[in-house]
Amino acid sequence: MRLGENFKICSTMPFVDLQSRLGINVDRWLLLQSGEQPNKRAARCHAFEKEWVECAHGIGQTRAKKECLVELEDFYECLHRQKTHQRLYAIRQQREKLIKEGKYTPPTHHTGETDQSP
Amino acid sequence: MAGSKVKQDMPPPGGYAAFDYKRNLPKRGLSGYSMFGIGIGIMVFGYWRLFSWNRERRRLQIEELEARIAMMPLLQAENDRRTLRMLRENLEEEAFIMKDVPGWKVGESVFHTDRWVTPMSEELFNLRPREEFLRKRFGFLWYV
Repeated sequence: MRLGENFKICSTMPFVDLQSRLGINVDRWLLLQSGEQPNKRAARCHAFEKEWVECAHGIGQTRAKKECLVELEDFYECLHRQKTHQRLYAIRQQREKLIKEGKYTPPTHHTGETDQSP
Repeated sequence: MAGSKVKQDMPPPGGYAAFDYKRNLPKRGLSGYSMFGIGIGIMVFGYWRLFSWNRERRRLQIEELEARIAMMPLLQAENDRRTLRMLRENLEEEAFIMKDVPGWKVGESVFHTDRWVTPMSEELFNLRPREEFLRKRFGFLWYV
């Protein structure tokens, strides 16, 4: 699509584009997770990155920071999973607390005793 | 001195038998060229055996890959069922555990989108013993 073509042109040097002139690919292959990957295996956060890039492309950094905040937050969360880890930690803490108070016993499939068939 | 009757150690009558005293280095064994030839011949035979067995191994490897491709829908479906089941169990446990915590929305997604996001192993194995999570994550390594 057109966006990919644009990225072939404006990767690092938007006016000179030395790499296309020389026909070499020194670092274009590692600039984007959503670029061409070996064995065609998609990156883990490919979708989020694609959304963010499609939102933020061509409108300048100042505007992009305001308008694409949602996509950027989702992409950041996918990369670092900070909110996910916080949530899981909170659940675990509460579970430990309840177990200590005796109000909660973990079900059998959570204690590692039964066999793990689906 | 000759003529005195002293007992001396003399050679036996008739003299000693003849023996070789001249230099004798016979040419024996294979020549250098033929030794090289035998060595190179053994090497060529070894290479031929190696290459033909490697071709056979490549054919076997392709067959294994084909078997993996043939089984992949089944394995993927089983894996997906297992993931969904674990997510469901985690959701129910979370609903029970966090019901007294103020301001907690059960099953809330951390993303703003409602697209399906493949869950991480941490999410699936959150409430299980840590060994299971570590086995899921590192159990497939063949090396340390």
